Amino acid sequence: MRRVLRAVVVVTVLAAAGWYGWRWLFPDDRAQIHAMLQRIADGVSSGASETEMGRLSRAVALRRDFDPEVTVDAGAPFQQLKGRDAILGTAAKLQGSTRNLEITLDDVTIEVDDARESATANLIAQAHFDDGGGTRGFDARELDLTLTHIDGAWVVSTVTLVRTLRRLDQP
Amino acid sequence: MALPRWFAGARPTRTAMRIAVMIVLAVIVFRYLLLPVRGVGISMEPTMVQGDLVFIDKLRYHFREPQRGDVVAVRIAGESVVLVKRVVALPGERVGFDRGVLRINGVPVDEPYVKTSSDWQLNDASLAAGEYFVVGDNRSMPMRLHEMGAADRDRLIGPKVF
Repeated sequence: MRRVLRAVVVVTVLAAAGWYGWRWLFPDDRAQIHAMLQRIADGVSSGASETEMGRLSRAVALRRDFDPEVTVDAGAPFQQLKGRDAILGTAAKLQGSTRNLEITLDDVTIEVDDARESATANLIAQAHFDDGGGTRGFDARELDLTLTHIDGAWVVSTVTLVRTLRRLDQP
Repeated sequence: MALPRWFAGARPTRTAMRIAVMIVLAVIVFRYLLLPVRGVGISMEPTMVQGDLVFIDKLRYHFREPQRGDVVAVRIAGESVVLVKRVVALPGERVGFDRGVLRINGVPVDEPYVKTSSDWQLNDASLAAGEYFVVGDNRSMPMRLHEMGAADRDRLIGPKVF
């Protein structure tokens, strides 16, 4: 009995290791998109003691993750942005003006179309930052993203804010 | 290798069973029954302050509709981050603020949970079917900085229980 149990445990462990190994070597579209979105979040975040050069180089590295014609509408106080260069310029400015900015992503849901040419993602982007008063500021927004598969890689095409609450004092 | 008595007790099998039952119960409770929420921000002061831990009843709204006065969790994209606000107006009602006083269908409403005065001004606006107006209790902050508005019924996870 003990031998059978040991064999079952060994087979289960090997099967799990094989499955995770296969997923790691050949990530599916959802995993690729998730990793890309996490890379963007890490790229926009900035440490408290990070140098200007470090921030800029990470912002520039984000180029490959955006469609050249990307549009971003993340809600006030951010303006609507069009084009990859505008996005990267804003990301660099944000890093420079916001101390110890940390962006995290939660509740990420990704749907890929059958032709694997486009995908949508819905997520919460949380921002934690030093607010200058000795405490940590916080903001969280729900975002809808559309992504396009170009030359074997997924890129972000649009980012739109989802308004959780309908403001009655605004049109 | 025998487990030490102080860890496993006199009956290790029974101890292991109890631990397993507690884990299953914790999963059931915190996945399907209660949502723990830790407060961030000042919009619900003094009812809820920064760092407060509250629990949201996830089943209640399956059996009844949200009621005026309920302190509710409002879902954003999922349940990792939620807004905690108070329901002050129900579907179909007209809601507004006049010099900081809440008005429902043109009638001023007493709000004993609001401890600060405010100068909020909001023209009366109608809520659609299935919309609930939610707002924080801290009216001392500028209205434009306060997250409030009409929430769809399906975004209301449940009321605070404790």
